[in-house]
Amino acid sequence: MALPLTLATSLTPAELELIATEQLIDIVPLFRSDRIRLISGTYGPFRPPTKTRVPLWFATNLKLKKKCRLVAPPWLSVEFLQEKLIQETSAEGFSVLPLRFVEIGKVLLDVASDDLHNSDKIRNLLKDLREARQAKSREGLRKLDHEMLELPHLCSMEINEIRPFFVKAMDVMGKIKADTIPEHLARVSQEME
Amino acid sequence: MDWEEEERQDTLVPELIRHWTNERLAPDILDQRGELLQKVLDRIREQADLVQQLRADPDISEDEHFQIILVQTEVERIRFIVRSYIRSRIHKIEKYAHYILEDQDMQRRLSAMELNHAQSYAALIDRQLDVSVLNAMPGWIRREGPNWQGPSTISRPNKDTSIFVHALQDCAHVLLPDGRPVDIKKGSINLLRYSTIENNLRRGEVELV
Repeated sequence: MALPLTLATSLTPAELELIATEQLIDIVPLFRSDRIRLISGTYGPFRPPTKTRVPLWFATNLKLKKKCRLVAPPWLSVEFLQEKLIQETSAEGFSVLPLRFVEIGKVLLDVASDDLHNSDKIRNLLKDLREARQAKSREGLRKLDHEMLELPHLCSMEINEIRPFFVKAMDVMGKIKADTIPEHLARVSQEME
Repeated sequence: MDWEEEERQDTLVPELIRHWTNERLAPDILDQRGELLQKVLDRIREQADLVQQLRADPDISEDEHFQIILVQTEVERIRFIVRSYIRSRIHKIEKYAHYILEDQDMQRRLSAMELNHAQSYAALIDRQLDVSVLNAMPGWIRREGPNWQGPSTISRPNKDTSIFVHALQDCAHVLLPDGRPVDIKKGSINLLRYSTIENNLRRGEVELV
C-alpha cells in the first residue's frame, strides 16, 4: 500500500471528502444542456433557472467554471447551526447533525461562499460546533469499555480523528482485562484471607 | 430529525464506496466482490467509449466539451476507489500470505488471482529468507519442524481490533466477547471489536465508518 502503516486501517480526510462529495445537492444551472449520463446515474436536463439535483463533486466542478450556483442544504444555515450549538453546549450527548457535515461544510465554504447566506457566521458556527463536540468526545473516553462503546450521532470526520487513540485504548483495556488473575487462583487468594 | 443519507436509484456507486470503506477499515480480508467490480469496470469502459465518440464528433460545441470533462472526472474518481480497494486487499494478502495458505475460510474469500498471488508471494518470501539468512544458520533452527511446540510464527489477522460500526438495520442479540448479548439499533454508531460484528458485516447489516 502506498499509505503509511498508521493509515492502513483508517481513511484520510481527503478520502472522506471524496465519499462525502458523492451526495446530492441542488444547483441552479447557468447553461442549457440535455441529460448527462454518468456511471453513478443520469443528471439533467439542465434548463435555467430550474433547479437540478446533482452530486456535490459535479456541482463544485461546474461552480469553479462559473456555470452554476449552488443551493445550500437546509442544515447549512445560521439559524439551524446556532440552534445546534446551543443544544451542544447545554445538553449531554451529541446533537443530531448530518453524518458528513464537516466535509460538506468545508467544500461548500471553499467553493461557494458567495451562494451561502452570511458565510462568515456559518464558518464560525461550524468551528464552534466542532470544538464543542471534540471536547465531548474527550469526555466520552471515560466511558470506554473494553468491549463496547456507544457514540450516538458522532460524525464521520470526528470518528476518523478519534479513531487512532480510541482503538488503541480499547485494545489496551482488553489486554489488561485479559491479564486478570485466572479464576482458580482468585479463589485461592480469597480463601487465604 | 433524522439525517439518513439520500437513497439513490442506481446503487452501484454507493455499494462500491461501502465495500471500499469496509475493506479499508477491517483488519481481516472481506468476501471478494468480483461481480460488483466487473460491473464497475464495464461501466468505466462504456464511459471511455462515450468520451471517444464525443471527441470524434466534429460539431463539438463548448457545451459538449465540458461534458467530456465531467465524465472523465467521474471516471477518475471511480478508478481511484477501485485501485484503493484492490491495494487494500493486496496489502492484507501479502501481510497474511502464509496464514491464507493454511486457512480454508480465508481462501474462500479470495478470488483465483488473489489466491495465486498469495501463493507466489509466500514462496518468494520463503526463498528470500532462505537465501539471505536461513541457509547460514544451523539446520535445526531453519524451519518449524513437525515437533514445534512453541507459538505459531505465522501472523494472522487480529480479529480483536476495535472498529467503528454504523448499523444499517436493527441487529438483535449480538454477543459481546464476555458473552453478554446486546441489541444494536438501526442508525447507531458503536465502537466494538471486529469479532463481535464480523458476521453482521458479512451479511450487510452493518457498515464500518
